[in-house]
Amino acid sequence: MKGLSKVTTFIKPYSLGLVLVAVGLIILLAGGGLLLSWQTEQTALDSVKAQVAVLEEKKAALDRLVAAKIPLGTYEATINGVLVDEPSVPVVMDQVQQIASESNVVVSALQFAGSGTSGTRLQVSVGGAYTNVLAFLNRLETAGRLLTVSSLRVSAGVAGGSNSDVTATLELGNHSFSGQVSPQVDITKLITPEYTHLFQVLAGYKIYQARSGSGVVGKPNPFEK
Amino acid sequence: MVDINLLPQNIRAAENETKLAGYLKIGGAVFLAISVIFLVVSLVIFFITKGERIKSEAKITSLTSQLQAGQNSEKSAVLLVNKGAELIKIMQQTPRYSKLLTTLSQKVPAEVNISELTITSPVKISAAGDSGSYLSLSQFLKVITADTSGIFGGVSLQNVVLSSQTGRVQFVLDITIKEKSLII
Repeated sequence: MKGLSKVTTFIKPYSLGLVLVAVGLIILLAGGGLLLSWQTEQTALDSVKAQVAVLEEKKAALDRLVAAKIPLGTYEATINGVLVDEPSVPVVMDQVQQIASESNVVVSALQFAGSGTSGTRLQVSVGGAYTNVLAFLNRLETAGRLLTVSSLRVSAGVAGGSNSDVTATLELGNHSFSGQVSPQVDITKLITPEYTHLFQVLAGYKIYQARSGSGVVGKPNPFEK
Repeated sequence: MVDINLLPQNIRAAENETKLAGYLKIGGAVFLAISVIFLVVSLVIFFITKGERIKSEAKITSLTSQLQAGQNSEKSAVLLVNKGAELIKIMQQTPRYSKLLTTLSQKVPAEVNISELTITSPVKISAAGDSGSYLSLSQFLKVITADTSGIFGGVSLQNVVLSSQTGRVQFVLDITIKEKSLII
């Protein structure tokens, strides 16, 4: 007790100053803690601001598409018809036959020529009047399920045909969408002249629908004629 | 010199103590004031940042809901850009041979017959046929050379023979196609 009284007597004149320093220290510590919390808050704010910037960019891009009145649904239907996701040789064969019938030419040969960078390749021979063969070629080039002609030979004459008939042998590439849909693209590209031109060209394409066979399927003897 | 008077010493010590206590009081008050200012500034910065974060988060919620409304449009647009890029690439590499045949047929004189036309590459075609005379063949060559459609780059005659049986001029020639002229 005597020792405590000695300390009290010693400290007494300084007590107010010491109290002020102690309170100051407490406040300083509280301020420091708050500053640390502010740093965390600032990091969170930066991340939130970055998210806002991304979302605002997306929103602005969408708004620009809406303002440009891009018929997204129509374009999507067209592009999906032109560049299909999965190649199908039977459907392409049917399509070539439909185009040949429309153009009044006869398909004399159609064979699978392998697969490559241009998708499934087919070799097709058609015969008929020159203007019809030309129409056939034109329809192939502007058909859905993108068919591209990679080589062509046109010769005069068709077996059993008239003198003015020609035979065209061509190699077709049947393209399908080879890539993956990447969400990280600039959608405002759709309003660039390059894409506008593309959709103008595609608007002239004819999408041939695969026909379903109507015949009876299944027979006891598949070799029976 | 020996100081034998203890009282003045005590008074002096008390004076020193009072002085020190005074300094400590002033120092403490200054320290306290600085701490308070620091706290207030920290508080203000903290609440400004917090307020800003709350506002930004509200903006995210609003933008997200707006984007959700246009989600299907965005999905369509993304697909169109992806497929469109591939289509543009394919189309820029694919010549339209129907355009070539249409233009060529407009250049062939009546007396010239083409019996075989082979497209060996996107920039070269080979044609074989016959002509009623050398004059009509040369007319054909001239028309191709002076082409203004922007498709034909030139012509080179590979072989010319006058058939003794038919009396017609048989020829084989190569026509150069200008690069990208058949691209739509």
